Amino acid sequence: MFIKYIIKSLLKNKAVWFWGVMYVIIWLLMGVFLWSSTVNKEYLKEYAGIWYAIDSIFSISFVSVSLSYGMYYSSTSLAYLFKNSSLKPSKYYFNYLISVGLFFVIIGTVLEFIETILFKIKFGIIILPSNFYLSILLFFVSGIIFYSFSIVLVILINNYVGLKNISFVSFIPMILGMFFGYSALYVKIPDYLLYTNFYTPTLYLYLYSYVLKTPWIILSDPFSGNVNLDFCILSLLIWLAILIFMSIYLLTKIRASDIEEARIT
Amino acid sequence: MKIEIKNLVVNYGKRQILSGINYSIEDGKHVLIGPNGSGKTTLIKCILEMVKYDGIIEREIGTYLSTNLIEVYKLMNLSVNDIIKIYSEIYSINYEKIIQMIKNFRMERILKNKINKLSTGESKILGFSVAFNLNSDLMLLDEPFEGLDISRKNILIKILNENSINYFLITHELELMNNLRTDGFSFLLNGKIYGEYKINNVQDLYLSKREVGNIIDTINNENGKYYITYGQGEIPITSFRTIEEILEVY
Repeated sequence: MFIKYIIKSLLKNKAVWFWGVMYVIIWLLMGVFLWSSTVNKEYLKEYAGIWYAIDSIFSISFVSVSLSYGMYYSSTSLAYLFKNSSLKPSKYYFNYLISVGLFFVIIGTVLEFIETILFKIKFGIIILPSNFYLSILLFFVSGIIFYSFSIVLVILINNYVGLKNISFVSFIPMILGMFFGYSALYVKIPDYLLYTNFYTPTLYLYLYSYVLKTPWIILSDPFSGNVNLDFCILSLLIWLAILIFMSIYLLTKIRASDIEEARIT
Repeated sequence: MKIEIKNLVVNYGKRQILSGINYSIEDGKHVLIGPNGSGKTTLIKCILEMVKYDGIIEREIGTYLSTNLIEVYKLMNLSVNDIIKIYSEIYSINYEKIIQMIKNFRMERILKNKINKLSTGESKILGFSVAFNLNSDLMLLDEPFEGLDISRKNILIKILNENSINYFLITHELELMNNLRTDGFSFLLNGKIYGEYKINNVQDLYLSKREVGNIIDTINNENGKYYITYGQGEIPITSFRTIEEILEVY
């Protein structure tokens, strides 16, 4: 219904471009130019894939946090519209999810393009994802999952906890993105956590789309064992269903964030 | 159309904003006058179910409300023009009519501005123009004259007077009430509503410290006891510019 307006507002959101692209490029620059000196050229594609996967996780985590603030600021409008118009939370949210998914595809394409350029500058060869369409699909699906997670947290805080805590809690997806991104690189994540969170399965699937080889559990250790990709896909699908359901349920209960109340309390 | 408010209480933290309000709004043009910070906007938000409250607000099934509160139109941080298009789609209303009303206020320059960058007066014009064209059963108008210059205030009064619409308007600006034709006035003071007085013009109301004329209500506050009288009295209520002046000066 208003997908074009949502995408327009996302494309014009400077904070999103800064955190989702500019900030991630800083990490990418370090990965390509500072920390790549010891990389064996034979494993260059794997190295590029790891950076691509980690940066993608960072990017969608950061962007999701930025976008979730939009939900907080429009909570008054939504609370009003759901009660005083024919707009339904599910209809609104599906419009938003499709828009956000498409927006993440744009961000992902930009990141892939920039990474390819940087590796070409440093190593003189063009390295591309082995399965471009899979990587794009991953940006769409994982973008929706990460965004929905951020939305669930923001609405929970807005409705039930109090506005004073909104800054800290809304950053949880970002903190988890950095935690799981670096953990997967250097340490063995416990089995019970490996597939039950949606960060590491997303990370492994990004890497798979890039190199088309089953990733190692510890990304920097070939002897750490292989990831089970079926479990990764299953994990993402379950999280996708849970988070969309929770988001829509919470949207039906969304409370207008009252500036006056926040000021007084 | 009828909205019945029974024993409405609103607290923000330890501060009580509204304390046991009883009020009803039926078809017609109703004005509630109260000082800044008296809880007028909160009352509108309660009717729109936008804030938590204790008490009962009964709305006839199918009663369709609209409001000029700008927060409800901040769905996305886009230009005013895009926001109007979005709301036109959501409500299936004529986009051109809203644009025309904004042009009538000579405010077409706001169409390209982001909604978050509007001044108070510009927000009021946008909120009113959308709310008016939603063809609701009742418009809830929060300080619609705020931030407007005198010519735009007059345009707004003309629209309100000349159209057969139902509205519940809250304001602290008494002087404008001389020109507004309504079905009833009320006052909100210290969390309590006085009225509604079923008169067409607030010029007929007086405030007196002595018992003179036709007493229609009594106000008790920290300065003492006041009588609201009809037809005659000590000081015409409209001789004050704002309701704050009544409380401070008289």
